[in-house]
Amino acid sequence: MGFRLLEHTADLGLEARGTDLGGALDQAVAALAAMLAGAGQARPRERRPVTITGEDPEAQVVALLDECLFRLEVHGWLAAGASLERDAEGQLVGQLLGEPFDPARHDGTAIKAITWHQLSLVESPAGVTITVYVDC
Amino acid sequence: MKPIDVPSSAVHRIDRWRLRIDPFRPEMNGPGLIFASEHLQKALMRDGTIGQVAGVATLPGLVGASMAMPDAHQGYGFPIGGVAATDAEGDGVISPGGVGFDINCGVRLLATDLSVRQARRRMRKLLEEIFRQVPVGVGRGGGKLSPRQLDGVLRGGARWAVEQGHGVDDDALHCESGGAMPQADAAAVSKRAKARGAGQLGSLGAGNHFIEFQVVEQVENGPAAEAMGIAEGQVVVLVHTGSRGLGHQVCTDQVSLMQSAMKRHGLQVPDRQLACAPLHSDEGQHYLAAMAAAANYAWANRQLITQHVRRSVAAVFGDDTRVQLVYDLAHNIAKIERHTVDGRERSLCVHRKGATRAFAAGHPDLPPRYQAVGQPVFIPGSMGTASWVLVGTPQAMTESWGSVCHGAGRAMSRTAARKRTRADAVITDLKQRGIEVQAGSKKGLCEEAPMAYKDVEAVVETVVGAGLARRVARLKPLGVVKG
Repeated sequence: MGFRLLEHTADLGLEARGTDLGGALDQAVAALAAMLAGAGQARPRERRPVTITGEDPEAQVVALLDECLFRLEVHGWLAAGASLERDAEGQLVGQLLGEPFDPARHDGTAIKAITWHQLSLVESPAGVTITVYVDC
Repeated sequence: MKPIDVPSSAVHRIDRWRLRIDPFRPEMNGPGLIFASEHLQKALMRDGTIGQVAGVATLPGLVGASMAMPDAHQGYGFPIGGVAATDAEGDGVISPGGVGFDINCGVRLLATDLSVRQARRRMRKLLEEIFRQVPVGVGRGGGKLSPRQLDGVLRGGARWAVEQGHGVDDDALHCESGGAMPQADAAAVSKRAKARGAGQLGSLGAGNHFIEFQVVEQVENGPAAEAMGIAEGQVVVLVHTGSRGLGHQVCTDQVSLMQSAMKRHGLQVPDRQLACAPLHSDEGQHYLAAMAAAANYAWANRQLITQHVRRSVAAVFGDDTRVQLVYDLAHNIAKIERHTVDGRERSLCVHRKGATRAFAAGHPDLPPRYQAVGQPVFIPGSMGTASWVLVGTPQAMTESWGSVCHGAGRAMSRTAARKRTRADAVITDLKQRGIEVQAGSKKGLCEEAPMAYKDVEAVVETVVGAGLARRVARLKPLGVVKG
């Protein structure tokens, strides 16, 4: 379980794996943080509540990562991981874990947006794998 | 969804500058047309570009070919460097992915009356002054706009900026679309997008965005250069940025909305990032209104940066130094335009994703200054190499919906570029070539190293060889502020 970053000519991708959906989503957020923070590492020092909607599981992945970018730009807060569960209505509810963005330490790649390009969420007996490309 | 594999039997070289992809799947509504020399073709074949050209050819209502310019490379859904037109009178679609996240990312050229000698002597101080004036880097912005001011930006674009005292009347006139698209509706832009945009107007951003001082090294078309007010030995400034977080969020919101709209309209595409809606549907019109508003934000953004540049130049060289806008163009946009198709004039929705409008002389949308010479087109090279000023041609009007390339085009991934070089080495290399650099991020500097890009000369040779543009002037870099 974990994540790896994927090559792309102009942009970047991530592949996140977990034993269940919550684990894979946590790793997807951690992978995004690794891109944004570079060697400066994002630390899970604070918890902030979050609710993610979306018409299918893949749409929810895009919405979750977009929420992380939104919080970074508007609130200056960098998400390092997530603790999420699906509720009875199908929404993802739980918390983002992270810390205030520090431009002196977090010298990563600037990310404009989360794309739907070759987006996938695959559930298998071995766990859940998420693939997402981001626009740099 | 898997990338589309293009069978080699479907790809044919038409001539020295063009490749054709024959339709090889029933859902393709037209062929692919790629402008590339044999040399550039190799890079296109290495990544997923040609598969993406084929994917764009499946868009409903496509008119003519799905095109890629010689700087094209793999994007997300659309290739970067892609051009596609759909029928704006009938069943054509509009696709946010065909515009991209950085709506109206574009470039503007400013002409100064500084000589290269003057500029070189004080380049370090000038770059530091610009770096102090212009917010640079991830999420960094200018002052916070009130909701009323932001609505003004979204409606009025560069014109709003000029009306607020950030420029002169001539500035808006010399922007594509007069610096504001009339279809803009501030109400179509989400609260989330407005929250991202409210504090970022007048900022450069990160990635490949830059403000670069250059010298006009060589003029190849005297009348066109004269119309633009540029001459050999003169210092000019190229500004490259877009609609910042507001535009990124508009695209994110709209691609998401179109996922469900596609089901309602019974549309299917080979990649979810190609999500689209009929232009005349509620969803299509909503996207057009929001995209136009974001495009206007980008024009206002480049206008405010121009004022920062003017103030910086005045601070270093004195108040009487001239900094005049040559032209401002969009290279990520969709526009409703009139074009001649099979001898008949039709209304088309032209998507340019990393491609530049290049209208020929005499086109009614050009300002009076360029009526006789054609639309100025600016092709930035990478940090260390030349940039080009071109003009559009009648051939571009008939073959590529009046479009050409937008830059050198990436040839190497960001990760590969970072592995191969260090920021200090990039700075030293540029210094040896007489180029000063001031960067917001060391990592970003490595990712944007000149070796990560294609040869801009080969790209320009192809569009000129194909007859889509004519050379006007070659620009050589002197100093650059990178995001």
